[in-house]
Amino acid sequence: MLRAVIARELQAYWLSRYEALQSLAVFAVVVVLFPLGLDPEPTQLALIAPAVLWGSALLACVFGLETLFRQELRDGWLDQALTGRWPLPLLLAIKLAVHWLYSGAPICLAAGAAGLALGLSDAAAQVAMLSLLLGTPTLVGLGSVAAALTANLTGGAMLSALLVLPLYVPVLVFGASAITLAQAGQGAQAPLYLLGCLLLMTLMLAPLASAVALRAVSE
Amino acid sequence: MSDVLLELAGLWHERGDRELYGGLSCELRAGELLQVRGPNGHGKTTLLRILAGLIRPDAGRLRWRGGDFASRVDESPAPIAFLGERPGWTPGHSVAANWAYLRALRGSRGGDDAPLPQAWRQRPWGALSTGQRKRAALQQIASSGAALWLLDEPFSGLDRERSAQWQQQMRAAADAGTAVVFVSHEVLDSPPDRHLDWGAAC
Repeated sequence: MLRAVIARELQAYWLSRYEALQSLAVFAVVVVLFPLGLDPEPTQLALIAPAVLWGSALLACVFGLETLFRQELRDGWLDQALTGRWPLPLLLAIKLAVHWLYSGAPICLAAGAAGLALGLSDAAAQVAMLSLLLGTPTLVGLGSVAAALTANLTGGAMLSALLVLPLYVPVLVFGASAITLAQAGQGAQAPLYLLGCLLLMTLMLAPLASAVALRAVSE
Repeated sequence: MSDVLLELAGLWHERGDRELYGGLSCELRAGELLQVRGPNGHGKTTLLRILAGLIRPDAGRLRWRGGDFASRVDESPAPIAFLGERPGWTPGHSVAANWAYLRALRGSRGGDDAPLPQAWRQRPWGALSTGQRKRAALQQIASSGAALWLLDEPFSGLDRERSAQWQQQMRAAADAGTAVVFVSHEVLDSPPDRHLDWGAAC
């Protein structure tokens, strides 16, 4: 029966896939803007590439947050979820996983090509993908808590962005430093492990915290 | 018929600067059809949401089948079916998809065929008329297998004939052992078992 719940979540995103892929579009546009504005010197681009990749991924994730729970609250989905069979954190975990599949996963894939285009070495481009793979679920998870808290506010998107950006800073720091280290030919394990730690913490706490926030907002 | 499903004791709730319910106590038995009445702003919808566990009251105790209220979540399918102003259907998805999803959400087994006109099945729920949407949502509740139905304004949007039909369906469900609580200003064709009106003891 839980399979039907997962299938519906996937279907919902498939129906609005162009909207869901906007995160990827934002990522691509921001990444492309930097080389256009800068002197396209390969060494200079490679120098700023870690910050560009991670900054763009962060913006793209914030961009998709607004739609996360708005519809759910407006249609009365939450009432049905709360009176339903499954614990709300479980339903939210499924929702977030599918959201990441459409917003985070495409960015991870695109980051490899974008990294090479910005003049990163092969190894550094791989580390860029890996760091985003570890980091973007954390961004989605943290963002979902903020999105849940502001789900019933008009203009909540701005507020949730303000709430969540400070929390994104550690992810940005570790993610970008992993790429920088790899580009300098050094081992990037340390920041990657730290990203993994953040990810594990978020996976455990984000669905619970979002559920508590959504409940509070709906009362 | 003396099976107490839901027990409510000493209910107080504050909304805005109004105090509601004045320590209302009430027992809900299986097979009962209960109409909640009262003027607008009286807290009828809020009461329904409290009974559904969607709002925690400021004071008062709820018990489910004589045990803790939280124990209701151990039952499968979900024992409380709630229909609010917004029924939880996704406008962009087809009637059939919504139906299957809501059943999965409730943990109901089988019965994936909606007792609704064939022509509706593949249409997006949002493309139905107000009355048709209401019918679909009501049928969903009716086939939920829940022990307690909580319905907010179940007749709004229905035409005379459908309204009478739905009244019969509620009656039949109550006769089969379901407890039905509904908020409505309508005078029913045949009176419900009880009216709930704070002030009057229930």
